[in-house]
Amino acid sequence: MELKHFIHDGVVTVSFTGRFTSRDNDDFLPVIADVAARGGRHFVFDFAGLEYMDSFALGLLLLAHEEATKAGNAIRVRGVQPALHHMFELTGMGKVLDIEGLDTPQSPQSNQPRPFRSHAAGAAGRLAAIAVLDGRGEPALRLSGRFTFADIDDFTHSLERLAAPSGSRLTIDLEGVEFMDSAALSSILIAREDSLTRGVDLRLANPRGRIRQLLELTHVGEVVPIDDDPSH
Amino acid sequence: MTTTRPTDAPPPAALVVAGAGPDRALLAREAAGLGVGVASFEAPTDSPLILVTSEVDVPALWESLTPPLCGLIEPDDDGRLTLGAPVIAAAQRGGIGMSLTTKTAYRAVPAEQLAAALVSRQGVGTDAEWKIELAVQEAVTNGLIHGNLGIDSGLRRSLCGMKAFGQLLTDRLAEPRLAARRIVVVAVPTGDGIEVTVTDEGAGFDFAARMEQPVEREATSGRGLGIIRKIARSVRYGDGGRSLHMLF
Repeated sequence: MELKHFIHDGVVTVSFTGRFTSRDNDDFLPVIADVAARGGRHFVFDFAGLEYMDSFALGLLLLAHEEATKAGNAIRVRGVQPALHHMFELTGMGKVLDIEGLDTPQSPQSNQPRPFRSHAAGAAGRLAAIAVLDGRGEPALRLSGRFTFADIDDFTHSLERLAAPSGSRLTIDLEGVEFMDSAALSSILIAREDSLTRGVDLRLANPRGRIRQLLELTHVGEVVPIDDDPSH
Repeated sequence: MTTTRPTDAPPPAALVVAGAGPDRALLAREAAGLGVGVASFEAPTDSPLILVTSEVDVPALWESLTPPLCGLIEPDDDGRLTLGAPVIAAAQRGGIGMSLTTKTAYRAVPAEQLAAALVSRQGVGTDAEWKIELAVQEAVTNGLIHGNLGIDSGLRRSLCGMKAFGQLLTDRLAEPRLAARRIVVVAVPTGDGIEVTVTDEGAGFDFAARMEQPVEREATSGRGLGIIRKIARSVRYGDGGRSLHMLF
C-alpha cells in the first residue's frame, strides 16, 4: 500500500492506495503517531485508491481512531469503494468511524472505540500492536484485538522493533486486548524470560475482565508482574 | 448455562450452495453419499441447512451459523465434501458445526464464531461463551498446529524458538497437502449443556500422557489442554487422539 500526506487549510489528508493489510503495520504506525500527537486537528483518510483491507488493517484503523479521540482529533474517512463499503457495514465500523456515505456516529457513547469483535457481524480482529512511551518515558507496547497463536510472529517482531534498552522497564499494555489464548500467554512468558537476560523488566498492565481471569486461571499473573494504571 | 432444546427432532438436513462450490452433479453425488438432500435458498424448507462454499471468510462463516443455516462444509479442491458427516449429524441433533480446511480455519477464527453463534442460538451466557471460545480456540489450535501441520510444541520455549515456530507455521501452511487437511468443529445441545467436539486429521495426539502431566505456572508451552480441563465440565478424547470432546 502507498500512503501520501497533504496538508491544506489545516486539514491533514492521508491518501491510501492499493491493499491495506498486516504487511502495512510498520508504514501505518507513523500515521497513528501523527493522529495521536496533533491535538484539535482534522484528518481525512482518503480511501479512493484503496482496493482491499484485511481485518488486521481494520484493527489499525480502529487504533488510529482511538488515539485520535484521546488526543482530541477527528478523523473522517472518505472515498470508500463499494467493495469496502460492504466490509465496513458488516463489521459495524461505520458506527464507530466517521465514514462518508455510511452511518455516522450517533452519540458520544457510540463514538467510543468499539471492541474489535462484533457478534452481529462476526468480525474477526487480529492483534494490533503500537509502540509508545509511557508516562515515565519508558517503552510500552499497547496491544489491541485478539491475541492468539496466529499473532505470535507480529508480537515478537513488535518487541524487537521496540528494542528496549538494558535497565529499562517495558510495559505490555493489555487494556485493548479482547481475547487471548495459551500460545499468547506463552509468548509473553518467553518474552519476559528473554527480556530479563537483557536487563529489561517486562511487565503487564491493565488486563481487563476475561484477560485478567485467564491470567489468574493459569497463574501467569504470579509469574509476570501486573501494573494497573489507576486512571483506567 | 441454559439451553433450549427443539421440541421435535428436526427434519433431515440438506445442503445448499452459495458462491463457488462443487458443480450440481458432483454435489448431488456427495449429498447422496452423506444421506442428505440438496436445497436452494429460493425454495423454503424446514430442513436444517448446511452451507457448501469455497469462499469461506469470517462473514460467510458467521452467516453459516445463523438460522436457517446451521453449519458449513468447505469442499476440497476437487469438490468432495470430506468430513462433512459430523456436521450433518450435529445439525440433525439441533446443533451447529463446520468442516474447514486448515488454511481456512487458520484465518477464519472458528472459535469466536462458534461461541458467538451459541449465544444467539442456545442462549449461552457470557461467562460460558468465554469458556467455550477459549476451550475451542485451544482445541482448534492443537488440532491445526500439532495435528494437521505436525509442528512440535517444544519449539516455543525461547524467543529464537518462537521465531522458528512462526516460520515453520508459514511454511507448513504453504504445503497444499497439509493446508487441505480438515478441522471439524461441532456443538450439540445435550439437554443440560452443550458438547463441543474438535476433530483434526493429524497423526493423533497422546492425550492420556499429556493429561497426567501437571502444568507448571512458568511453563512456556503445553498449557492449552490444562486450560480446557479447568474450564470444561468434562473432557474426553477419541479417534486415536484426533478428537477432543468437551462438555460445557
